[in-house]
Amino acid sequence: MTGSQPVVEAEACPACSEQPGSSLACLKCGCLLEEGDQSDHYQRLGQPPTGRFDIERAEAVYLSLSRLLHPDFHGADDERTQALAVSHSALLNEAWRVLTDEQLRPEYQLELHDPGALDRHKALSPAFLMEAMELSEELEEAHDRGCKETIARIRSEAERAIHERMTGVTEGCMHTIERIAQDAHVPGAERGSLPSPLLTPHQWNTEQIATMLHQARVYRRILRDTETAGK
Amino acid sequence: MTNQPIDDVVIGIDLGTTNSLAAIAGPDGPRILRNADNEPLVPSVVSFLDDGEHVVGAAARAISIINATRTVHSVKRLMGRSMDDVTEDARLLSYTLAADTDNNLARVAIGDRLITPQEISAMILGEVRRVAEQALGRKVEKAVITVPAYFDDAQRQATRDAAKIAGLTALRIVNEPTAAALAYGLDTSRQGNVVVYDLGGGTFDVSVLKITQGVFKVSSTSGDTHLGGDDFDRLIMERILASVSERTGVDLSVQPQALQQIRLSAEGLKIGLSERDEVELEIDLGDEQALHYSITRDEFEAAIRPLLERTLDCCRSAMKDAGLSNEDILDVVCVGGSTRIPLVRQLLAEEFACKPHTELDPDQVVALGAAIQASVLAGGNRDLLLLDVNPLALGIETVGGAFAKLVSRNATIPARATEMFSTSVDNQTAIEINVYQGERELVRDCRQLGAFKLRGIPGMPAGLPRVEVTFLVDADGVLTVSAKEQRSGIETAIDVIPSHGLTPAQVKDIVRESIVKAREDFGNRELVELKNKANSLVAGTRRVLAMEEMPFTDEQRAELLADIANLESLVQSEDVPALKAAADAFGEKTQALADDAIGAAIKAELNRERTQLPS
Repeated sequence: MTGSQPVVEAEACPACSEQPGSSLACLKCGCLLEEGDQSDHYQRLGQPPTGRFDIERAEAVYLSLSRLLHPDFHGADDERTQALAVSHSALLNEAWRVLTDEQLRPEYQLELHDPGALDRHKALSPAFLMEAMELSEELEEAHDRGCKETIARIRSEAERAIHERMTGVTEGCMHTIERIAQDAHVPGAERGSLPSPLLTPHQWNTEQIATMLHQARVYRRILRDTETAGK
Repeated sequence: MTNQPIDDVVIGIDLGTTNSLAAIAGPDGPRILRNADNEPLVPSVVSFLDDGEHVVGAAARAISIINATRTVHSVKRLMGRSMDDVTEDARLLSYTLAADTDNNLARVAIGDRLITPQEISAMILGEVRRVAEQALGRKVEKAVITVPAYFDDAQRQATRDAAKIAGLTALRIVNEPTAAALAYGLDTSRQGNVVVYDLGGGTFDVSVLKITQGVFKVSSTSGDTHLGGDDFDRLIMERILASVSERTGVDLSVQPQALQQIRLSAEGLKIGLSERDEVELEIDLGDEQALHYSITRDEFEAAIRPLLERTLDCCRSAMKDAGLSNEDILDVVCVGGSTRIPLVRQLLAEEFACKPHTELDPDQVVALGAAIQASVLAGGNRDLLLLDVNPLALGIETVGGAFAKLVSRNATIPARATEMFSTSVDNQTAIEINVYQGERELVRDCRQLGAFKLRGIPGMPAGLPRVEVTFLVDADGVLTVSAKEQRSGIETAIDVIPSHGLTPAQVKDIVRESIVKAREDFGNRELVELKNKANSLVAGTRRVLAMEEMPFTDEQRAELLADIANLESLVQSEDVPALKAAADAFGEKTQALADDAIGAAIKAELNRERTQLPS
C-alpha cells in the first residue's frame, strides 16, 4: 500500500483494537467484521470518499481483503462464518466493481451525498432526447447499409459526448479537487485519470450532475451499439 | 485467522466430454492419478449391459461398437440441457435421447429406461474416484470438479448434482481455463495478463486473467459450450458418410454400429493429421469388400477453419471485455486435446503475436490445476487465490418481457444483487420471480434458469409488503436466492423450480435410489411400475362403474368392488409377486369391461344426438 495513514475513520477492531482499515475485515489481524448499516463501498475498500480515487492503492486493499474473505479459505469454519465470508466477498466485489467504473463511481458518489438524486433528476430534456434518437437512427441506417465510415463517425461523436459529460461532472467541482489535492499534497491528483466528484452536499449542483450522468449513460449505450453495428 | 485445515484428502477432477481424470497436489506439486495400467484417462463413456449393469471408461469404450445403442458418450453436452437444445447433437449420436415428460429435459433412453445425464456423469465420476482411491490407497469423498467457464447455472447445477449422486462432495466447481492457469502459474510465478485458450472435446472457453502476487483474478471470459474436437470428428464423419453413400449408395448414418465405428475412425484420422500431411482409412464392408478413404491436412484445415474463426471471435470479445489489447498479453496458454492441432497453434500465434505455451500436457493441465485448487480448499495452501467471474448476465423478467440484469457478465464471484418486490393484490402471500441468464434485452431471447416462488409473506394491503430479494452467485457460479419481508422481518420460504435441471427433491430421490444395489434397484423399479399399473386399473374401473349406461348386475358390481379392494391392499403391502398376479388377472378381466364401456359410451353419445335432433 502506498498510503501509510489510516484512510478511514472506523471503529477499532474488536479483536486487536487496531484501526481495521475496512468495514469488512481487519487488515491488521485478519478477523472478519460485522458491518453496520452505514457502511459504504469506500469504507469497504478503505478509501477516502473524497479526493482522487487511487486505483492502485485500492487494488492492493482489494486483493488483501479477498485473501481474508474468500470462501475458499473458510471451508472448515462454522456455518455462520462461511455465510459471512460469502456475503462479505460479494460486497467487496461489488465495491470494487462500482468504484473502478467510470460511470458507476460518480453515480454512487452522488447517491451517497444526496440519496435519490439520480431518480429525481432522471427526466432528460426533449431536445437532448431528440438529438440522441437521431444519432441512434442514423446508426441503425448506417448498420443496414453497412456504412463503416458513418459508424466510425458516430462512435467518435458518442465518445466525445461521454467525455464532455464526464469532464462536466468533474469540472462542476474542480476547484475543490485542486484544493484537496494541495492540502493532501497528492502529486498528479489534479490531472487524475479517475476523477471523483468531490463536493460536500451543499456545494453540489445535484441536478446538473445527475443530468450529465444520465446523458452519459445514453451515449454509452449508443457507443455499445456502434460496436455491435461494426461487426 | 479462523482457517483450519481439512483432514480429508481432496482431489481435483476434470470431468471432460471425451475423457475424465483426477489429480492430487502434495508438497512437491500436483500429480495425475493413474490406474493399475498406469493409464491416467478414464474415457467419459458408459455402456449399459442387458442385465441392467453398466461398465464405465475403457471397458465401455471397448464394447462401444457392439453395444452401440446402449453406449453413452459425450454426455457432458447434455448436462442441464433441454431436448430443444440438443436436437443437432442427437442426430449423430449412436444412442437415443428422450424428453423428460415434466420439463422437456434431455434424457438418455436405454431400452425402456430413461436416465438423466446427471446419473451418467455420476457413473463416470464414480470410476474416476475408484481410480483415485486405488492410486492413493485411501477413501476419497471430497473433490474439486471443473466445468467450462461458459457453463450456465443449469449446467453447473447439473454437475454439482452428478457429484452428489456419485457420493462425492464437490467442494468447489472451478472453471477449466482458470484451473489451467493455476497449473501453469505455479511453475513460473508469472505476473501479468494471461489468455487461456481451452479447446476440448465438446466445449470451447477463453479466459483472460490478471495474475498479481498469487491472486488469479479472471478479467473476462467467453466461449461456446457447443464447440470442440467432437465437431471436428463430426466434419470428418460426414465426409466419410458422404463418400460411402456416393460410392455405394448406402446410408450408414442410420446404422448405429457403423456410425460408432466411423466416429472412432474419424477421431483417429484427426489425431493422425496433427503429425502427418495425409491419412487414410479402410472401411470393411463385409463380404471381402473394403472402401478406401483418405483426407489431407489441407482438406481438414479448410473444413475446421470456420469453427476456429469462431473461437478467435470469442477471444476478441473476451479481450474487449477485459479492456485489453493484444500487446497487454504476457502469455497465451493452450488447454484441451484439440490444441494439439497445428492450425490452432498457428492461428493463436498469429492472433496474439507470441508463441502459445504448450509445455504441459493439454489433456492433464485442467486436472492438475483442479488439484492445486483442492489443496487450497483443504487448507494446505494459502499462497494462491482464484477470483472467478459470472459468465453470463443474470436477471429477472420485468414489465413487457424485458430482461433486467441484476448480476452482470464478468462480475467477480461471489456476487450479489438485491431487488425490492411487492404484492399486487390485498393479502397476497406469495410472489413468483422468473430468473433468466443471458445477454439480450428481452427475456424471450435469454435462457430461463427457473422460477423462484416466495411464500409466507404476511397478509397486507396490496403494495405494502417490501420483500427484499437477494440474488447471490456463490464461488461455484451457482445462484441462490433468499428473501426477507422488510416490514415484518420475516424470512420468506422459497421454492425453486429449475427450468433445466433437477429439483433438490429429485436429486435426493436419485441419490436414495442409487444407494440401493443394482438388483434391488431393479426390484424397486418393478414395484413402482406395478403400483402405477394397479392404480390406473383401479381408477379406470371406478370410472366405468360410475357410468349410467353400463348394464351391471349387482353381483358383477360387488365382484369388481371386491377386486378393487384386494388390489388396493396389495399396493399397500408392496408384495411384488402377489401384486403382479392380481394386477395381471384384473387387467384381463377389465379389458373386456373397457371394450364394453367404450361401446356403451359411443351408443349413449349416438342416442343423445338423436334425441337432440328435431325429427
